[in-house]
Amino acid sequence: MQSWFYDLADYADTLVGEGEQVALSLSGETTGYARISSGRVRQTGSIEQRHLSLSLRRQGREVVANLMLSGSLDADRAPIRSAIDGLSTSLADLPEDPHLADLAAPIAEEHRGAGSIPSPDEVIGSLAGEEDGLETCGIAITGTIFRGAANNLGLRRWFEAPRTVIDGSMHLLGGGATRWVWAGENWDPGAARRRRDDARSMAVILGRPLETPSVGNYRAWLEPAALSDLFSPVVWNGAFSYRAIETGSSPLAPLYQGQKLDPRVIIRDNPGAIGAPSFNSDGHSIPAPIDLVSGGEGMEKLTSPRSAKEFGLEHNGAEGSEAPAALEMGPGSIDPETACQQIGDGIWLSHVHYTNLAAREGARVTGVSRWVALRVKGGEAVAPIGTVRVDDSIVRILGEGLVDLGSRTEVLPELHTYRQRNTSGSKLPGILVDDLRIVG
Amino acid sequence: MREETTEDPARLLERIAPRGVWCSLRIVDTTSESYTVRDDVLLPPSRSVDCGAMVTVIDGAGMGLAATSDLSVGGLYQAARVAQTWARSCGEAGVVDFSEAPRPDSSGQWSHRIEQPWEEVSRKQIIDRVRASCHGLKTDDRIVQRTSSVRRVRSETCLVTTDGVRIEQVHDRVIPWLEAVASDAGDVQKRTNGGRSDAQLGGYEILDSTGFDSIPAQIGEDAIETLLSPSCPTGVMDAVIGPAQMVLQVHESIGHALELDRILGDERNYAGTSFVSREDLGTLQWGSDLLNVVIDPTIEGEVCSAGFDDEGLPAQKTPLIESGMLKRGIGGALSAQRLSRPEDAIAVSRACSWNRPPIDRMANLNVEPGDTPLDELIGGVEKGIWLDVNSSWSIDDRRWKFQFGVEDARLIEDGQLKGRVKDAGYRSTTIPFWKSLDGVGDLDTWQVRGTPNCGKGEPNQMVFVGHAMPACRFRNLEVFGREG
Repeated sequence: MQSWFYDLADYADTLVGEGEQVALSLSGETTGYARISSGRVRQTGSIEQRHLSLSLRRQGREVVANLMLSGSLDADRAPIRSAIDGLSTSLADLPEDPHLADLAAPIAEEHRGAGSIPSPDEVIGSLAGEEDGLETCGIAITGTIFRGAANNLGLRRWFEAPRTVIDGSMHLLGGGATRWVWAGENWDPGAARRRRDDARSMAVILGRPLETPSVGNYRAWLEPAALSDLFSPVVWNGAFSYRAIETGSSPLAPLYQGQKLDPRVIIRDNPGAIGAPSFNSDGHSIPAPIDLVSGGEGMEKLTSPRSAKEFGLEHNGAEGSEAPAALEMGPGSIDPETACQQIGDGIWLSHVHYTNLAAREGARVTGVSRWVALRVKGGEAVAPIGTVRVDDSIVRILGEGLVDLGSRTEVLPELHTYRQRNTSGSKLPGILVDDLRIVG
Repeated sequence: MREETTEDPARLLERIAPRGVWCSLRIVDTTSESYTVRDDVLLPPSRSVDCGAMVTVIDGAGMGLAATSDLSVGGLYQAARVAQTWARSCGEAGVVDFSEAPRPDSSGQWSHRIEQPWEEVSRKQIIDRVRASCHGLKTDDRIVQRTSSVRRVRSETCLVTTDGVRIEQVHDRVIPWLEAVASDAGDVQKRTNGGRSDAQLGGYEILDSTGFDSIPAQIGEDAIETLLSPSCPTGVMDAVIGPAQMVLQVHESIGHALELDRILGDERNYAGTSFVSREDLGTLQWGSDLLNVVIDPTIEGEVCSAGFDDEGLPAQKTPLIESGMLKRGIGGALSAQRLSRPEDAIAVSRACSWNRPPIDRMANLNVEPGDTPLDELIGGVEKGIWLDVNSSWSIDDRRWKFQFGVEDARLIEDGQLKGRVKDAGYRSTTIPFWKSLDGVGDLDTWQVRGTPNCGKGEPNQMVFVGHAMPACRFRNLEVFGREG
């Protein structure tokens, strides 16, 4: 696919008129998947798609065409030619864009991940089948993800990675479920099986009677995925976005005005930590790592080329959303294996479901327990707690409420596949907090 | 449709279908355009063409799918073989014997009324209009960010099968968006045109009917008024919920809870399951006897009006909850068959595009209007609150325990709307909440609305969902403000 993309870029270069610039951004995938329900196949199949974003510029104006292409150079030349012709005409209708940033500099770079992917039978077999007293569900998804960026200044960047994600869960017939994920570039059925076995063994405690805590504050261990869940709405409401911080709409804006988290909190944007592309969709480099919070204090902000142009700054390769490509948080000193002992009396949460911002002030987030949520007493997990609502401030959780962070960080691939498979993710530790607020 | 697809789809299917198997070809051609103005600066406009096909093969007991953006005969021929490979891998391990699964048996065409086609409007006219609406949001220096945008999405779908079925449908949808962010003394408040519930089916005229030119100033003023208002009080009180918030309320606590694929367990790994059991269908008293909920594909301008679903089932108005009693869930023909309730099948098996398979989705999920005028709904509240326009949503994976926030909240005292309050939220559980319904607004309060952002499925799918809602009154709701 790389040579096809570069050939298209070369072809697009020949089509631009005097004083025009063209930029191409590709996201493609060849995917196979199996969706499993109660151990049986609900849907299984493949996806081949090649989405090209084509930008044309002239005299400080830009217009964009998004095309779904066939992968055949002969067939795809015509829609590209037609799109560029249309864009060129469209530019005349536009006012000058005062915040239009420069195109990405002409860098030539490629990354090709190497690894094997499972066969269709292995994809299905990774999740299907019967488990004693448990129903298995989930999706196994595999294949190569492609990202490319090019422009007529000479930029040619390519990222290609075989990725397999087995995203499964096991459900007790009487209620309660555990979740497991195996993700990697080199299919390892043994490692995936071990994850599945671990999830099955975690299910044992979920068969005990519920012991749901009453409304109140609890000492709690949040697994890396639970921390990610709670952090998500803060991120998509502009946590580290230069623009959102400037307007005050970022829930973390006060961090950049003197408010502090616990000094042990270190947060970075670091695509290299999770194997994500080192360039954004326009081909701009993401300098890694970008220190967002250090010593508990707000440091750098994610600044897109457009914001940089508008506010007279240097950009750091952020996308237009100014969200992290790969959020990384530094570890602390708690061995996750000792989390229950560290809790003493409280709760242990693997995930927090359907989180959202409850109030911008203090970055207050809310969500409900899901998967493994346990009552801990005397330093031991004693019972599942069922569904409880968490409603607390991220600033408090990572500030005065933070007891310590886990000593081990975990790579959490972004599992969302809206429109296309994802290359982003995070790398986080678990955290131990005091007085986590349970409201119902 | 794109150049490669000029060949008749039925003829294409004949050429690519493997011998001796049932096969369908669903081609979706979506064109969209988007214009956004932020703080009076036009962001680069975009136009998208997204055309591809899904081939479905049923070979023996197994079903396989292959989605491709290569619409050449060769590309589709290859896709059909890939789908057959998956079908054979599936074999007898499917959730059903797919050779026994319901198949479409009727053909037809469907489209809707468009008063003013987008193609008749110049790009400059659209841009000028979006710029004017953005400018109109600036009512005060404390408005620190303004965004105005319009997205138009046109989808042409053609489904053909080796049985000779042919279904063609066209949907033209418009999503207007207006947002003002107000900030002062460290506080920030955001107001919008409807909390992402303003999607409509139609042409350029939608910008008139949704007040795209006339409401920006009001949104700006509301943002300032909200900024300066006190935090919402905390307590148990009666509430009148406006149509825009009813969209979210019904979507989350009725719609998703009733999806048959949740009840069957297909969604357990991602979106979740449901507190509703198979035995509840036809027997559960869901809410007060004022509650009547329908799937209605016949409403003009509602985004999921249609003639068929994406598996070819003809669409018709169907009651889900009648006088508070649950009649049936929301599911297509296969889910209804798996639940041994084939008569309950509704035309709601939908896919977001060519690259995803159809699954059970809400379509136009509506609450039928009642007979109480708005002033009587409010007049029946001694001490309570008006809640409208969603700002925050969270609900558990069984769709039982929820907490929602709103942009627009005003106190009600002695049957009169009083001062505005900010950061208002409420929480409850599904069945007790719907049983506390004691007033349903009349047709004057009923609004046809829609959202472009309903997500579920694996691989994930984002679809439009229509919701037509009246204002409704609920008793003894747990309401809270900033401190939660």
